[in-house]
Amino acid sequence: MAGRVRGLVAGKGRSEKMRLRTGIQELDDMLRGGFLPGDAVLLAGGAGTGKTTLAIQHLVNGATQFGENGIYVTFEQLPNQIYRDSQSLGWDIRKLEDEDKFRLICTSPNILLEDSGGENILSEPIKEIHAQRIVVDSLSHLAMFTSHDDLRRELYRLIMLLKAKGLGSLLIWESGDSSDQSKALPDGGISFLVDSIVSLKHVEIESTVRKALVVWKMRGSDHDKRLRQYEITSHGIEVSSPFSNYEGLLTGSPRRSVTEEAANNWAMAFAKNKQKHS
Amino acid sequence: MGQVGQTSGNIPPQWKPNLIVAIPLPVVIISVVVFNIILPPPAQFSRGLAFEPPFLNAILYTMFLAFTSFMVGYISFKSYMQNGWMFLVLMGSGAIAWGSTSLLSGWLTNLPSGPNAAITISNTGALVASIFHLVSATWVKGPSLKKDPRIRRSILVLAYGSVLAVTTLLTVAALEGMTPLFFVPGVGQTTLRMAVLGSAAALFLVSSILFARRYFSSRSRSSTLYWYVLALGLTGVGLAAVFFGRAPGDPISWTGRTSMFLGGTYFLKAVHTAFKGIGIH
Repeated sequence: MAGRVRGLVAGKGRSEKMRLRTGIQELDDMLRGGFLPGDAVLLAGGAGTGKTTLAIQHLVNGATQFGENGIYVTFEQLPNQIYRDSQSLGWDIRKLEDEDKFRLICTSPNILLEDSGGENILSEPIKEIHAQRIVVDSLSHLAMFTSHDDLRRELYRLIMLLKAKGLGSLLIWESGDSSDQSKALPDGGISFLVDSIVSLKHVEIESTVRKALVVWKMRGSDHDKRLRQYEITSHGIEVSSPFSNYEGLLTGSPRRSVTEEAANNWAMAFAKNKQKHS
Repeated sequence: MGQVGQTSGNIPPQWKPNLIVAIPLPVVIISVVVFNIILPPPAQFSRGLAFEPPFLNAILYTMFLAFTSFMVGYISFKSYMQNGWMFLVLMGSGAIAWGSTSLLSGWLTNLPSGPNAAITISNTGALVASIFHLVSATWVKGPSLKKDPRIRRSILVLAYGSVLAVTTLLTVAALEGMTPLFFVPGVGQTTLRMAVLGSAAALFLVSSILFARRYFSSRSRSSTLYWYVLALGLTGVGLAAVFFGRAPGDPISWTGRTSMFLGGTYFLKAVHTAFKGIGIH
């Protein structure tokens, strides 16, 4: 099977033109154009960081902007909830389903973990809509239904299945907002199984909680290594400027960089009214 | 958490101005007065009393005037990007003008055509820089409300770029002989040079006094500002000293240059205090 997978991926050529764009311009720029086709991408983040929003946006944009249809597999939300939440962001998923551009699959991790479970669940929808993208929400739920020792093998099986089907997958992982990076990413070697890792997290700067996005890893491609600020707006995720003025955001002790601190000291030394401005 | 905006982890000891570092100011003034009394007038001045080896000026101007000024320009650039105070653009532009003209004049001192081009560039640059510093010292408006970094960067690029463009034009014009004479070998400085150099020296000194007033009127005195005040003062006194020089490389010129080089060192020290986070107390 591994040989078959390699052949499929190699056959796709992994060319720059074939990248799977998220449709979020700044994120695509960070990814140097988008995810590589057939890659398994881990989307890790804490509660309220917008993992599901980003994942659905990736699928909706793929279907509506790039002609790449997608499947959303969820273990935790009911269809009506997803339809409603997506509608509030301006995405009509029902319509996309009617147009055979999107499939929503609500299932149990148990079923997916059965022998040929993934094949049984996914084969038909993939054929129906010629899917090129898939989201699994979430691996954390899947992990609850398997032992720690078996987790890596099961996830390897799932990732290889998705690759064999030629799908670019976004695999959601629920992590805490721990400042310890080793706890923010899943254990059990999952980080090594996937091709790319995108992490979403909350950071506190000057008593304000902000959202930060970083691409940790992107196998076979250059990518932006900077931590970028983003927001969940009424029309989805919007990625903005890097946190270029701060250091130590991921450690939980953000501080201005030495130069920025010096620049601030410089202004304050000369300013008549010594109030901070930014 | 909560480290943002702090200058350092520990509360620094109360900073007191070091009066010793201010001593060069009166020393330079007294030295110039003494030299002015004992040295013969320009017409009777012996060239044997002048010391102007090739490239020494260039190296010293590059190290003590250009590099230090560019550091002030750099930190003012970063500071404006962050805080949006227009006086920082003016201060940075002044530093860039002073640094770039010092760099060029230093390396053009020993041209076969004589020192006029270098003196023209240096003195005009000093005047431009002093005007920028004076306006910066008198600027009372608060920070710009436009926080878009692209707009701030554009303003800085426009300001610094304009200064560098004018410096380039001035250099070309001086080398091509398109500018009025500032110095005639064997005769001495022209009235124009006296006016330009005198104005530059005066404006540097006035800027220094204005910033000093700010320093003394503030309850939380800044060592950064203290060093900057002295740097401006030494630069002004240095330029004024050159004003009394008999010939390039004479003892008065070197006294003035030494004062300016020390001023450059003090500019660097001001930047250093900002980086060390010991600038404000």
